[in-house]
Amino acid sequence: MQIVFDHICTYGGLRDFSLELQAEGCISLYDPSEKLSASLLSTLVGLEDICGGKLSLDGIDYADYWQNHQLLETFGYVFDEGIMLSNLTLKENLLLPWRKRFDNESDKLFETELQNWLSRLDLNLDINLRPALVSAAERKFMGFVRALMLKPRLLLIDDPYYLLNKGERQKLNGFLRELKRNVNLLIASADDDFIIGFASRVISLQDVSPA
Amino acid sequence: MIQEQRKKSLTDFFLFLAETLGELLRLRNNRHVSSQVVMRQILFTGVEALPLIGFIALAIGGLTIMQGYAFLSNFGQGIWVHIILVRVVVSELSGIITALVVIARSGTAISTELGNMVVSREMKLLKSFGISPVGYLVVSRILGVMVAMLVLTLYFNIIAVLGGWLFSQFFNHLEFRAFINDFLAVISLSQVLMSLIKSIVFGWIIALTASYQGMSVRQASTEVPQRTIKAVVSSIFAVIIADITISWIFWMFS
Repeated sequence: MQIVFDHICTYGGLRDFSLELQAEGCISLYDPSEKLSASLLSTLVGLEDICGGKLSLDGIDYADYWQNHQLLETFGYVFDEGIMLSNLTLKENLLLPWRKRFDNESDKLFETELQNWLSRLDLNLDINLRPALVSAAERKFMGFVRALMLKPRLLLIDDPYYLLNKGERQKLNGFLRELKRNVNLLIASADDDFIIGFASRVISLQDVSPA
Repeated sequence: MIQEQRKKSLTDFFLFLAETLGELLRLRNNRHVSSQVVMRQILFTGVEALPLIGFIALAIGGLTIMQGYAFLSNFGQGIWVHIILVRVVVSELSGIITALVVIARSGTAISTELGNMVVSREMKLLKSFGISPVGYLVVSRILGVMVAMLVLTLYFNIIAVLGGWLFSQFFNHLEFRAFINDFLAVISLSQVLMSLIKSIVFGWIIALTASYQGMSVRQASTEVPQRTIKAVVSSIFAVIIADITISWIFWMFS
Protein backbone atom coordinates (compact mmCIF):
# COMPACT_ATOMS: atom_id res chain seq x y z
CA MET A 1 0.00 0.00 0.00
CA GLN A 2 1.31 3.39 -0.97
CA ILE A 3 0.74 6.15 1.58
CA VAL A 4 1.54 9.78 0.75
CA PHE A 5 1.38 12.63 3.25
CA ASP A 6 1.65 15.84 1.22
CA HIS A 7 2.12 18.92 3.43
CA ILE A 8 -0.42 17.58 5.86
CA CYS A 9 -1.70 19.59 8.83
CA THR A 10 -3.97 18.00 11.41
CA TYR A 11 -5.85 19.27 14.44
CA GLY A 12 -3.56 16.94 16.41
CA GLY A 13 0.19 16.97 16.00
CA LEU A 14 1.08 17.14 12.29
CA ARG A 15 2.21 20.50 10.89
CA ASP A 16 3.10 20.77 7.17
CA PHE A 17 4.17 17.14 7.27
CA SER A 18 5.28 15.30 4.14
CA LEU A 19 6.20 11.65 3.81
CA GLU A 20 5.83 8.99 1.14
CA LEU A 21 6.02 5.35 2.05
CA GLN A 22 5.37 2.03 0.43
CA ALA A 23 3.87 0.15 3.33
CA GLU A 24 5.00 -3.40 2.62
CA GLY A 25 6.85 -5.72 4.96
CA CYS A 26 7.85 -4.13 8.21
CA ILE A 27 8.50 -0.39 8.58
CA SER A 28 9.59 1.30 11.79
CA LEU A 29 8.95 4.95 12.46
CA TYR A 30 11.67 6.29 14.73
CA ASP A 31 10.41 9.23 16.73
CA PRO A 32 12.06 10.04 20.08
CA SER A 33 9.23 12.45 20.99
CA GLU A 34 6.64 9.75 20.13
CA LYS A 35 4.08 12.49 19.47
CA LEU A 36 4.63 12.83 15.74
CA SER A 37 4.51 9.11 15.05
CA ALA A 38 1.38 8.69 17.20
CA SER A 39 -0.25 11.56 15.27
CA LEU A 40 0.72 9.96 11.96
CA LEU A 41 -0.89 6.64 12.88
CA SER A 42 -3.95 8.40 14.33
CA THR A 43 -4.37 10.39 11.13
CA LEU A 44 -4.31 7.22 9.05
CA VAL A 45 -7.23 5.70 10.97
CA GLY A 46 -9.15 8.97 10.98
CA LEU A 47 -8.70 9.87 14.64
CA GLU A 48 -7.12 13.21 13.77
CA ASP A 49 -8.95 15.45 11.35
CA ILE A 50 -6.93 16.86 8.47
CA CYS A 51 -7.02 20.66 8.22
CA GLY A 52 -4.61 21.13 5.33
CA GLY A 53 -2.55 19.33 2.70
CA LYS A 54 -3.37 16.06 1.01
CA LEU A 55 -3.26 12.48 2.21
CA SER A 56 -3.64 9.69 -0.31
CA LEU A 57 -3.78 5.90 -0.10
CA ASP A 58 -2.78 3.94 -3.22
CA GLY A 59 -2.99 7.20 -5.18
CA ILE A 60 -6.59 7.85 -4.11
CA ASP A 61 -7.54 10.83 -1.96
CA TYR A 62 -8.02 9.76 1.67
CA ALA A 63 -11.70 10.79 1.84
CA ASP A 64 -12.52 9.13 -1.48
CA TYR A 65 -10.65 5.94 -0.58
CA TRP A 66 -13.35 4.96 1.93
CA GLN A 67 -16.05 4.99 -0.74
CA ASN A 68 -14.86 1.55 -1.82
CA HIS A 69 -12.90 0.30 1.18
CA GLN A 70 -13.67 -0.49 4.78
CA LEU A 71 -11.46 0.98 7.49
CA LEU A 72 -11.18 -2.32 9.35
CA GLU A 73 -10.02 -4.27 6.28
CA THR A 74 -7.40 -1.61 5.51
CA PHE A 75 -5.88 -0.71 8.87
CA GLY A 76 -5.61 -2.55 12.14
CA TYR A 77 -4.64 -0.23 14.97
CA VAL A 78 -2.96 -1.35 18.18
CA PHE A 79 -3.09 1.50 20.68
CA ASP A 80 -0.14 2.05 23.00
CA GLU A 81 -2.36 1.56 26.08
CA GLY A 82 -4.22 -1.50 24.80
CA ILE A 83 -7.55 0.30 25.06
CA MET A 84 -10.68 -1.82 25.47
CA LEU A 85 -14.31 -0.74 25.86
CA SER A 86 -14.97 -0.87 29.59
CA ASN A 87 -18.69 -1.67 29.21
CA LEU A 88 -17.98 -4.92 27.34
CA THR A 89 -16.18 -8.14 28.24
CA LEU A 90 -12.89 -9.00 26.51
CA LYS A 91 -14.72 -11.35 24.17
CA GLU A 92 -17.38 -8.76 23.32
CA ASN A 93 -14.58 -6.27 22.69
CA LEU A 94 -13.25 -8.60 20.04
CA LEU A 95 -16.68 -9.46 18.64
CA LEU A 96 -17.70 -5.84 18.09
CA PRO A 97 -15.22 -5.03 15.28
CA TRP A 98 -15.37 -8.64 14.03
CA ARG A 99 -19.09 -8.39 13.31
CA LYS A 100 -18.56 -5.06 11.59
CA ARG A 101 -15.70 -6.45 9.50
CA PHE A 102 -17.17 -9.86 8.60
CA ASP A 103 -20.90 -9.31 8.37
CA ASN A 104 -21.80 -12.77 7.18
CA GLU A 105 -19.14 -14.83 8.91
CA SER A 106 -20.31 -17.19 11.63
CA ASP A 107 -19.42 -16.79 15.28
CA LYS A 108 -17.92 -20.29 15.12
CA LEU A 109 -15.19 -18.99 12.84
CA PHE A 110 -14.64 -16.22 15.36
CA GLU A 111 -14.04 -18.80 18.10
CA THR A 112 -11.57 -20.70 15.93
CA GLU A 113 -9.66 -17.54 15.00
CA LEU A 114 -9.67 -16.35 18.59
CA GLN A 115 -8.28 -19.61 19.95
CA ASN A 116 -5.64 -19.61 17.22
CA TRP A 117 -4.34 -16.14 18.13
CA LEU A 118 -4.60 -16.74 21.87
CA SER A 119 -2.45 -19.85 21.56
CA ARG A 120 0.04 -18.08 19.28
CA LEU A 121 0.44 -15.36 21.91
CA ASP A 122 0.43 -17.96 24.69
CA LEU A 123 -2.42 -16.11 26.42
CA ASN A 124 -4.34 -18.01 29.04
CA LEU A 125 -7.05 -15.77 30.45
CA ASP A 126 -10.81 -15.72 30.96
CA ILE A 127 -12.13 -13.77 27.98
CA ASN A 128 -15.50 -13.31 29.66
CA LEU A 129 -13.98 -10.88 32.15
CA ARG A 130 -14.29 -7.11 31.87
CA PRO A 131 -11.05 -5.39 30.76
CA ALA A 132 -10.64 -3.72 34.16
CA LEU A 133 -10.18 -7.17 35.73
CA VAL A 134 -7.10 -8.16 33.69
CA SER A 135 -3.61 -6.68 33.72
CA ALA A 136 -2.53 -3.83 31.46
CA ALA A 137 -0.18 -6.19 29.60
CA GLU A 138 -2.98 -8.69 28.99
CA ARG A 139 -5.18 -5.89 27.65
CA LYS A 140 -2.36 -4.85 25.39
CA PHE A 141 -1.91 -8.40 24.04
CA MET A 142 -5.67 -8.66 23.55
CA GLY A 143 -5.42 -5.44 21.54
CA PHE A 144 -3.03 -7.27 19.19
CA VAL A 145 -5.42 -10.23 18.96
CA ARG A 146 -8.35 -7.92 18.18
CA ALA A 147 -6.48 -6.15 15.41
CA LEU A 148 -4.99 -9.31 13.88
CA MET A 149 -8.27 -11.23 13.82
CA LEU A 150 -9.62 -8.62 11.43
CA LYS A 151 -6.90 -9.43 8.87
CA PRO A 152 -6.04 -5.83 7.95
CA ARG A 153 -3.84 -4.95 4.99
CA LEU A 154 -1.57 -2.95 7.28
CA LEU A 155 -1.19 -3.26 11.04
CA LEU A 156 -0.38 0.02 12.76
CA ILE A 157 1.34 -0.43 16.12
CA ASP A 158 1.83 2.53 18.43
CA ASP A 159 4.70 2.08 20.89
CA PRO A 160 4.62 -1.73 21.20
CA TYR A 161 6.59 -1.86 24.47
CA TYR A 162 4.44 0.62 26.36
CA LEU A 163 3.10 -0.84 29.65
CA LEU A 164 5.11 -4.07 29.28
CA ASN A 165 7.79 -5.42 31.62
CA LYS A 166 11.04 -7.01 30.44
CA GLY A 167 9.65 -10.52 30.06
CA GLU A 168 6.55 -9.34 28.28
CA ARG A 169 8.68 -7.20 25.94
CA GLN A 170 10.74 -10.26 24.96
CA LYS A 171 7.57 -12.25 24.37
CA LEU A 172 6.08 -9.51 22.20
CA ASN A 173 9.32 -9.02 20.29
CA GLY A 174 9.43 -12.72 19.44
CA PHE A 175 5.80 -12.65 18.38
CA LEU A 176 6.28 -9.61 16.14
CA ARG A 177 9.39 -11.15 14.55
CA GLU A 178 7.27 -14.13 13.56
CA LEU A 179 4.35 -11.93 12.54
CA LYS A 180 6.31 -9.64 10.20
CA ARG A 181 6.82 -12.54 7.77
CA ASN A 182 3.11 -12.61 6.89
CA VAL A 183 1.65 -9.29 7.97
CA ASN A 184 2.51 -5.76 6.83
CA LEU A 185 3.52 -3.75 9.89
CA LEU A 186 4.00 -0.04 10.52
CA ILE A 187 5.52 0.36 13.98
CA ALA A 188 5.92 3.68 15.77
CA SER A 189 8.62 3.29 18.39
CA ALA A 190 11.74 4.85 19.82
CA ASP A 191 13.03 1.51 21.15
CA ASP A 192 16.28 0.12 19.73
CA ASP A 193 14.66 -3.31 19.42
CA PHE A 194 12.51 -2.03 16.56
CA ILE A 195 15.11 0.30 15.04
CA ILE A 196 18.18 -1.92 14.79
CA GLY A 197 17.91 -5.08 12.74
CA PHE A 198 14.15 -5.51 13.03
CA ALA A 199 12.39 -3.62 10.26
CA SER A 200 13.04 -3.78 6.54
CA ARG A 201 12.99 0.01 6.56
CA VAL A 202 13.43 2.58 9.32
CA ILE A 203 12.10 6.10 8.84
CA SER A 204 13.37 8.72 11.20
CA LEU A 205 10.69 11.30 11.77
CA GLN A 206 13.32 13.67 13.13
CA ASP A 207 14.50 14.08 9.53
CA VAL A 208 11.11 14.45 7.85
CA SER A 209 9.30 16.73 10.23
CA PRO A 210 9.81 20.35 9.22
CA ALA A 211 7.64 21.62 12.13
CA MET B 1 -17.17 36.28 28.20
CA ILE B 2 -19.65 34.12 30.13
CA GLN B 3 -22.32 34.91 27.56
CA GLU B 4 -19.98 33.81 24.75
CA GLN B 5 -19.27 30.55 26.57
CA ARG B 6 -23.00 29.94 27.00
CA LYS B 7 -23.55 30.60 23.31
CA LYS B 8 -20.78 28.15 22.38
CA SER B 9 -22.15 25.54 24.76
CA LEU B 10 -25.64 25.98 23.29
CA THR B 11 -24.25 25.66 19.76
CA ASP B 12 -22.34 22.52 20.77
CA PHE B 13 -25.52 21.07 22.24
CA PHE B 14 -27.52 21.65 19.06
CA LEU B 15 -24.71 20.18 16.95
CA PHE B 16 -24.74 17.15 19.24
CA LEU B 17 -28.53 16.94 18.90
CA ALA B 18 -28.25 17.10 15.10
CA GLU B 19 -25.59 14.36 15.09
CA THR B 20 -27.76 12.21 17.35
CA LEU B 21 -30.78 12.63 15.09
CA GLY B 22 -28.62 11.82 12.05
CA GLU B 23 -27.39 8.61 13.70
CA LEU B 24 -30.93 7.75 14.75
CA LEU B 25 -31.95 7.87 11.10
CA ARG B 26 -29.10 5.47 10.27
CA LEU B 27 -30.20 3.12 13.04
CA ARG B 28 -30.82 0.23 10.68
CA ASN B 29 -27.17 0.22 9.65
CA ASN B 30 -25.98 0.23 13.27
CA ARG B 31 -28.48 -2.33 14.53
CA HIS B 32 -26.01 -5.19 14.79
CA VAL B 33 -23.74 -3.27 17.10
CA SER B 34 -26.28 -1.28 19.13
CA SER B 35 -28.88 -3.82 20.28
CA GLN B 36 -26.69 -5.09 23.10
CA VAL B 37 -26.22 -1.58 24.52
CA VAL B 38 -29.97 -0.90 24.23
CA MET B 39 -30.84 -4.08 26.13
CA ARG B 40 -28.32 -3.36 28.87
CA GLN B 41 -29.66 0.18 29.23
CA ILE B 42 -33.24 -1.11 29.54
CA LEU B 43 -32.09 -3.60 32.16
CA PHE B 44 -30.27 -0.96 34.19
CA THR B 45 -32.72 1.93 33.81
CA GLY B 46 -35.91 -0.09 33.73
CA VAL B 47 -35.70 -3.49 35.38
CA GLU B 48 -33.29 -2.59 38.17
CA ALA B 49 -35.33 0.52 39.07
CA LEU B 50 -38.61 -1.41 39.48
CA PRO B 51 -38.35 -1.97 43.28
CA LEU B 52 -37.64 1.72 43.99
CA ILE B 53 -40.34 2.95 41.60
CA GLY B 54 -42.77 0.39 43.04
CA PHE B 55 -42.11 1.56 46.59
CA ILE B 56 -42.52 5.25 45.72
CA ALA B 57 -45.66 4.61 43.64
CA LEU B 58 -47.27 2.59 46.42
CA ALA B 59 -46.55 5.35 48.92
CA ILE B 60 -47.70 8.19 46.62
CA GLY B 61 -50.91 6.38 45.63
CA GLY B 62 -51.68 5.51 49.21
CA LEU B 63 -50.90 8.96 50.60
CA THR B 64 -52.99 10.66 47.90
CA ILE B 65 -55.99 8.51 48.79
CA MET B 66 -55.39 8.98 52.50
CA GLN B 67 -55.12 12.76 52.36
CA GLY B 68 -57.84 13.16 49.75
CA TYR B 69 -60.30 10.90 51.53
CA ALA B 70 -59.67 12.49 54.92
CA PHE B 71 -60.47 15.90 53.45
CA LEU B 72 -63.27 15.09 51.02
CA SER B 73 -65.21 12.68 53.24
CA ASN B 74 -66.00 15.67 55.49
CA PHE B 75 -68.22 16.92 52.67
CA GLY B 76 -69.51 13.49 51.65
CA GLN B 77 -67.51 13.72 48.40
CA GLY B 78 -65.31 10.63 48.79
CA ILE B 79 -65.69 9.76 45.10
CA TRP B 80 -63.60 12.80 44.16
CA VAL B 81 -60.61 11.06 45.57
CA HIS B 82 -60.42 9.03 42.34
CA ILE B 83 -60.39 12.20 40.30
CA ILE B 84 -57.50 13.47 42.40
CA LEU B 85 -55.70 10.16 41.88
CA VAL B 86 -56.07 10.48 38.11
CA ARG B 87 -55.35 14.21 37.89
CA VAL B 88 -52.46 14.31 40.32
CA VAL B 89 -50.80 10.92 40.09
CA VAL B 90 -51.48 9.58 36.59
CA SER B 91 -51.30 12.91 34.72
CA GLU B 92 -48.53 14.65 36.63
CA LEU B 93 -46.69 12.89 39.42
CA SER B 94 -46.02 9.53 37.75
CA GLY B 95 -43.99 11.07 34.92
CA ILE B 96 -42.14 13.61 37.04
CA ILE B 97 -41.27 11.25 39.90
CA THR B 98 -40.19 8.48 37.52
CA ALA B 99 -38.07 11.04 35.65
CA LEU B 100 -36.42 12.20 38.87
CA VAL B 101 -35.58 8.61 39.81
CA VAL B 102 -34.20 7.95 36.32
CA ILE B 103 -32.14 11.16 36.43
CA ALA B 104 -30.73 10.16 39.83
CA ARG B 105 -29.88 6.61 38.77
CA SER B 106 -29.36 6.53 35.02
CA GLY B 107 -28.65 10.14 34.10
CA THR B 108 -25.72 10.25 36.49
CA ALA B 109 -24.55 6.78 35.42
CA ILE B 110 -24.66 7.64 31.69
CA SER B 111 -22.83 10.93 32.16
CA THR B 112 -20.15 9.36 34.38
CA GLU B 113 -19.67 6.32 32.16
CA LEU B 114 -19.37 8.30 28.92
CA GLY B 115 -17.11 10.87 30.58
CA ASN B 116 -14.77 8.14 31.81
CA MET B 117 -14.83 6.52 28.37
CA VAL B 118 -13.70 9.80 26.81
CA VAL B 119 -10.88 10.12 29.34
CA SER B 120 -9.68 6.56 28.70
CA ARG B 121 -9.78 7.17 24.91
CA GLU B 122 -12.49 4.56 24.29
CA MET B 123 -14.25 6.95 21.89
CA LYS B 124 -11.08 6.97 19.80
CA LEU B 125 -11.07 3.19 19.84
CA LEU B 126 -14.61 3.12 18.42
CA LYS B 127 -13.65 5.64 15.75
CA SER B 128 -10.68 3.45 14.80
CA PHE B 129 -13.22 0.68 14.03
CA GLY B 130 -15.18 3.10 11.86
CA ILE B 131 -18.01 3.04 14.43
CA SER B 132 -19.60 6.34 15.40
CA PRO B 133 -19.46 6.77 19.22
CA VAL B 134 -22.68 8.79 19.04
CA GLY B 135 -24.43 6.05 17.05
CA TYR B 136 -23.13 3.20 19.17
CA LEU B 137 -23.17 4.68 22.67
CA VAL B 138 -25.56 7.64 22.67
CA VAL B 139 -28.40 6.57 20.35
CA SER B 140 -28.51 3.15 22.03
CA ARG B 141 -28.75 4.75 25.46
CA ILE B 142 -31.43 7.19 24.34
CA LEU B 143 -33.57 4.34 22.98
CA GLY B 144 -32.98 2.26 26.10
CA VAL B 145 -33.92 5.08 28.48
CA MET B 146 -37.03 6.01 26.43
CA VAL B 147 -38.32 2.43 26.50
CA ALA B 148 -37.47 2.09 30.19
CA MET B 149 -39.19 5.41 31.05
CA LEU B 150 -42.34 4.32 29.23
CA VAL B 151 -42.47 0.99 31.05
CA LEU B 152 -41.58 2.52 34.43
CA THR B 153 -44.28 5.20 34.12
CA LEU B 154 -46.91 2.58 33.26
CA TYR B 155 -45.70 0.49 36.18
CA PHE B 156 -45.80 3.55 38.47
CA ASN B 157 -49.41 4.28 37.48
CA ILE B 158 -50.54 0.69 38.04
CA ILE B 159 -48.83 0.40 41.43
CA ALA B 160 -50.05 3.85 42.52
CA VAL B 161 -53.64 2.93 41.72
CA LEU B 162 -53.30 -0.41 43.49
CA GLY B 163 -51.64 1.37 46.43
CA GLY B 164 -54.54 3.79 46.48
CA TRP B 165 -57.00 0.94 46.70
CA LEU B 166 -55.01 -0.78 49.45
CA PHE B 167 -54.96 2.41 51.53
CA SER B 168 -58.64 3.07 50.89
CA GLN B 169 -59.31 -0.16 52.76
CA PHE B 170 -58.35 1.61 55.96
CA PHE B 171 -61.10 4.20 55.57
CA ASN B 172 -63.98 2.38 53.96
CA HIS B 173 -63.99 -1.20 52.82
CA LEU B 174 -64.37 -0.52 49.16
CA GLU B 175 -64.51 -3.50 46.84
CA PHE B 176 -61.70 -3.72 44.36
CA ARG B 177 -64.10 -3.90 41.42
CA ALA B 178 -66.02 -0.84 42.63
CA PHE B 179 -62.79 1.06 43.15
CA ILE B 180 -61.52 0.26 39.66
CA ASN B 181 -64.92 1.07 38.12
CA ASP B 182 -64.87 4.51 39.77
CA PHE B 183 -61.27 4.98 38.63
CA LEU B 184 -62.05 3.99 35.05
CA ALA B 185 -65.07 6.29 35.05
CA VAL B 186 -62.93 9.34 35.72
CA ILE B 187 -59.84 8.53 33.67
CA SER B 188 -59.80 9.56 30.01
CA LEU B 189 -57.77 8.32 27.07
CA SER B 190 -56.12 11.73 26.65
CA GLN B 191 -54.81 11.58 30.23
CA VAL B 192 -53.26 8.17 29.67
CA LEU B 193 -51.86 9.36 26.35
CA MET B 194 -50.39 12.48 27.95
CA SER B 195 -48.76 10.41 30.66
CA LEU B 196 -47.16 8.10 28.09
CA ILE B 197 -46.05 10.92 25.79
CA LYS B 198 -44.49 12.68 28.74
CA SER B 199 -42.58 9.56 29.76
CA ILE B 200 -41.11 9.14 26.26
CA VAL B 201 -40.16 12.82 26.00
CA PHE B 202 -38.63 12.80 29.50
CA GLY B 203 -36.60 9.69 28.62
CA TRP B 204 -35.31 11.42 25.49
CA ILE B 205 -34.37 14.56 27.45
CA ILE B 206 -32.64 12.71 30.28
CA ALA B 207 -30.55 10.44 28.05
CA LEU B 208 -29.67 13.21 25.59
CA THR B 209 -28.62 15.66 28.31
CA ALA B 210 -26.61 13.08 30.25
CA SER B 211 -24.92 11.83 27.08
CA TYR B 212 -24.09 15.35 25.93
CA GLN B 213 -22.51 16.22 29.27
CA GLY B 214 -20.59 12.93 29.37
CA MET B 215 -19.30 13.35 25.81
CA SER B 216 -18.31 16.95 26.60
CA VAL B 217 -15.55 15.79 28.94
CA ARG B 218 -12.24 16.63 27.27
CA GLN B 219 -9.23 15.06 28.97
CA ALA B 220 -9.21 15.28 32.75
CA SER B 221 -11.04 12.83 35.00
CA THR B 222 -11.84 15.77 37.32
CA GLU B 223 -14.26 17.02 34.65
CA VAL B 224 -16.42 13.90 35.04
CA PRO B 225 -18.17 14.78 38.34
CA GLN B 226 -18.57 18.41 37.22
CA ARG B 227 -20.28 17.27 34.02
CA THR B 228 -22.45 14.82 35.96
CA ILE B 229 -23.72 17.63 38.21
CA LYS B 230 -24.50 19.70 35.11
CA ALA B 231 -26.33 16.72 33.60
CA VAL B 232 -28.57 16.38 36.68
CA VAL B 233 -29.37 20.09 36.98
CA SER B 234 -30.01 20.56 33.23
CA SER B 235 -32.15 17.41 33.05
CA ILE B 236 -34.36 18.49 35.96
CA PHE B 237 -34.90 21.93 34.39
CA ALA B 238 -35.58 20.51 30.94
CA VAL B 239 -37.96 17.82 32.23
CA ILE B 240 -40.04 20.33 34.20
CA ILE B 241 -40.22 22.72 31.24
CA ALA B 242 -41.25 19.83 28.96
CA ASP B 243 -43.86 18.75 31.55
CA ILE B 244 -45.41 22.21 31.65
CA THR B 245 -45.37 22.46 27.84
CA ILE B 246 -47.01 19.06 27.24
CA SER B 247 -49.63 19.65 29.96
CA TRP B 248 -50.39 23.06 28.45
CA ILE B 249 -50.76 21.58 24.93
CA PHE B 250 -53.16 18.88 26.18
CA TRP B 251 -55.06 21.45 28.22
CA MET B 252 -55.42 23.69 25.16
CA PHE B 253 -56.84 20.87 23.03
CA SER B 254 -58.98 19.17 25.67
